[in-house]
Amino acid sequence: MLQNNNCFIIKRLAKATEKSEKRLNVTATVMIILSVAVSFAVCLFMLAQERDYDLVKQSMPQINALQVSDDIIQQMSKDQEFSQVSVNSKIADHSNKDYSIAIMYMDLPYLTGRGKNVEGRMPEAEDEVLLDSYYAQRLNAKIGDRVPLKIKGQEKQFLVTGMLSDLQKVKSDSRNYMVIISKEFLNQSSGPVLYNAGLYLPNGSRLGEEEVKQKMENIQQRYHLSGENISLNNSAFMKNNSLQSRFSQTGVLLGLTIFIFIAAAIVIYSLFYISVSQKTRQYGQLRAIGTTKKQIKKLVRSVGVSFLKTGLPIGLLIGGIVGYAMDPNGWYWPHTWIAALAVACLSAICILIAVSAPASKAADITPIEAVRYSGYESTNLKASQKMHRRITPISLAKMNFTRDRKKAASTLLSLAIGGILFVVVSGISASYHPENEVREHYYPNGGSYRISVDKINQSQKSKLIEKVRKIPGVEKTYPYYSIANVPTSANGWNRELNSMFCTKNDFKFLTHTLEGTIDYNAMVRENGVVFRRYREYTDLGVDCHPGDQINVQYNEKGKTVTDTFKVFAVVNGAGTTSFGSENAPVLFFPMDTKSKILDTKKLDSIEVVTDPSAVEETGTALQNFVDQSDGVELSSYEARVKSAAAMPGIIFTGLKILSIFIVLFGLINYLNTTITTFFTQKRERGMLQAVGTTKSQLTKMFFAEGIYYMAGMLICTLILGPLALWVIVKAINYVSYVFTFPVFQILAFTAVLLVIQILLIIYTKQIMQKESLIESIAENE
Amino acid sequence: MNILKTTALKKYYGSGANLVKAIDGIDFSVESGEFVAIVGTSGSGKSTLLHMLGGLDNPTSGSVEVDGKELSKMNDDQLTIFRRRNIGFVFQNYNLVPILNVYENIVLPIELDGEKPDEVFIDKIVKMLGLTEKLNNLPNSLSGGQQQRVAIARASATKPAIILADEPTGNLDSKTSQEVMGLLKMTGRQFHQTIVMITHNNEIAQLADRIVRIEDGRIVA
Repeated sequence: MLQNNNCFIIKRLAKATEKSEKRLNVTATVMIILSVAVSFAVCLFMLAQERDYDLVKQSMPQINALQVSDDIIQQMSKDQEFSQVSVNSKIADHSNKDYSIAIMYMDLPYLTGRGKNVEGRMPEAEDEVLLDSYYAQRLNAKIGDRVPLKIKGQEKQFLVTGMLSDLQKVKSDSRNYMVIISKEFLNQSSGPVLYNAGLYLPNGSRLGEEEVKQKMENIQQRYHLSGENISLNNSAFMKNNSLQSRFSQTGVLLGLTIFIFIAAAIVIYSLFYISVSQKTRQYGQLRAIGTTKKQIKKLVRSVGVSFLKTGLPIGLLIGGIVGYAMDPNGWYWPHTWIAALAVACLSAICILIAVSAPASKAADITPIEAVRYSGYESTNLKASQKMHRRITPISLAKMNFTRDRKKAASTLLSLAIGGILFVVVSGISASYHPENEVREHYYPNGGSYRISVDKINQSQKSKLIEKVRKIPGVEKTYPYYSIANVPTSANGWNRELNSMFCTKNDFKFLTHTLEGTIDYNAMVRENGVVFRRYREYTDLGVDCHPGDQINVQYNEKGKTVTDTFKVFAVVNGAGTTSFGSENAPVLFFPMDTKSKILDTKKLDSIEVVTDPSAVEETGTALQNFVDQSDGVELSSYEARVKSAAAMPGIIFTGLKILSIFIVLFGLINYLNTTITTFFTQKRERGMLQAVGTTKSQLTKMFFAEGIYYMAGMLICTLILGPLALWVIVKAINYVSYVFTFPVFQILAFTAVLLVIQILLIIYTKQIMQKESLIESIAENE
Repeated sequence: MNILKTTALKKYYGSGANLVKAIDGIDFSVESGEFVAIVGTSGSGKSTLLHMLGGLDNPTSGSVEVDGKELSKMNDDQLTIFRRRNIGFVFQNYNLVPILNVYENIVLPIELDGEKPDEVFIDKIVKMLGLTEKLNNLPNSLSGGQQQRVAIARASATKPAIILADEPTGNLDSKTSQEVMGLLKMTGRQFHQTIVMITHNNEIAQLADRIVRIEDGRIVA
């Protein structure tokens, strides 16, 4: 039996092929390095972020105690039931149109539990502070500097002892800054100081929610705390570690990685396709001397594998370095190995698939094709449909463009994928209108400011509203009322829910109705309520439908009373306004409800509508008022909008970087195709010059061919890009996303493409100037 | 009347010990309507001479005049346009444009000039060269002989002052060679065209009106 003992010779041929094709070598290896590096870095970053959050969660307290005295804090600190007690107390809030500052006392465990990192030391003396690192940048301050701070209307100089930053390193400037003062300073303030405490149970991160709930009830009794003063820290029990969450995150990672490799694979396919086309004679000759089809395929695949062997380790190294640099805190070796293995396997699969079609094409070349090979890049057609097509540089360019449809299609595809992704990513960023969300959720009545009211000020609430109304520049005030942690049960579940009381006017803003109808008068008559559906609650089985009866407990003159309400409508938690309440209300009662639960309502906040011509002055006046009052804080619409605008910053930046890489892949493919074709058609070019085509006509032809590619790419991009963007915005289905076509970005993108085309023309023109006409004609003879 | 004239034409490559004298002082002229064959062995300088006659290459010294115009005085664009209008080329490898059909290849130099082809004249050439049935065909569907006929048609289509043929039968078998040579001569006679052909084949050269021998860059006979 004849044996095909050919591994050695195939490898030698593959190596020789590699060496002879420098452009293929460099371009393919660069593509592999880039795609592996980008996908590995993305995977590591996302895994690191997840790990950061896990670490932060592990350092979160299980129970929150709110507004408790120093005595209770001291007792709790000595209580063996708690492994740790962390405390904080808010002193003041300060807001302007750019940012807001919360001046607080927090101990180190509390800061760590909120995912904060402290550089330097905690403030100890009365005139020492810890600054948010972004705020420090605004003040141009560093550790050791003295900075002026206004607290309760008085400005004082403070020494900066340290900087606060987020453990998850890549969070952007939220424009909500914390300034941490010392306990010494807190003790100097007049009046009793009340603290919020984070209570850590021994092995708390391993305890289930029900177990912690029972302990909490125990603690509540022992320390004589009311229901409002103690609650579960829901963040510590958030189910982001659930199988569904992990599955969806892994799915996103896999999807992104596969997408990157598909884009790279198209380029690799194109590179190999062109290489095989150019080597028709060689492959035909190999077949003529007895190389089998299988051996030819193996030869082409070996070249691909060789590029992979070079590019993969370099790509992993670069990707690893970048991934680490983006979030060193989240680095975790087990994740790194798994991600590296996954990326290596995916890249190998994609590259092998990309190379398989050109390998088959090479194998299909017959010896006769080698003999007949003229050195021209031929077309597959035998005749044209029209006898006389007009011959101009532009028509020649069009014929050249359509000469090899597979090559043109793969080049266009990789360009179009990049273009479409660029439109989508730029479009999502352009479509993000945070002012919509801020207006709907926090300032639905068109206010410019909001005064948040602390619970201790409830007895003064009507006076407070009157005082605010009298401030110059204030046109209208809209008070919002709520109650927190109301024991509620229905349909077999029971939970403490936050609730709001809404006027008929307020109910107008509950627009995202999922089920039922909001009829204010009927709700008043029939003891109705609107239920807000949150995914976090429905995951726990807390849900309602119109017609359901829910039981609500409240305190009436020292007695616990239960009232039953009928659910009239269900609104979408994600979209519906919360009237600025930070407590995520679930139940909305009509303000005219006949139930005595109304007596338990507390003033939550006041939305302030100002004279539009005096917004800033009114803001200053309101800030002065707030500085001189206890238990109230001021925030502004503008600052909130700027904060919301900054929030998705990192995500948008990450997506933009990814889209730029994909565009780069397409451009690499295009440049390689164009330059290779340029050099392949040297003889044809020489012949055209010999029969009288001037260099400027050739340049025009080359430019026109490039424009065909660019035009094809732009057409796909401008049709499919906005369509994809529209679908995504619709799918997001959120008030802050309104379809906006990124005109400026597309214009800039088109300008860049034109510049690239012009640079290409300059380069090829230079080559043509140096080319000898005789050599061009004589090539391949 | 001389349609083509060279005076002390030289083409040297390299310098010093590496100096190669490809053409070493050629004075040569061709009369209008003449069919001249330049014969020489491989490396004699015949191709180099032809390239300079057609303005494809620049001489080291000396001059080339075609139809009274000195080629060395023209810049690259002027030379290209001059070539397009006044010189027809027939190459050994045919050198047709693969994406253009037979008809488009023939009228290529005319259309590059922005002119409309003389359809009556084109029709005559096409019929004479037996290409009527092949006008829509692309070059990859034609035999070598057919492709060379298209090349001859293209060279003749602009009614050039001179047709330069570089080993036109080099890639053809003997029968096809005879056929193509016959057509070339007939086209020349029919349209009163001057033809300068280079070949290493003495037999083919016999079909010309005059044979010029070149050896070591010089005309010997």
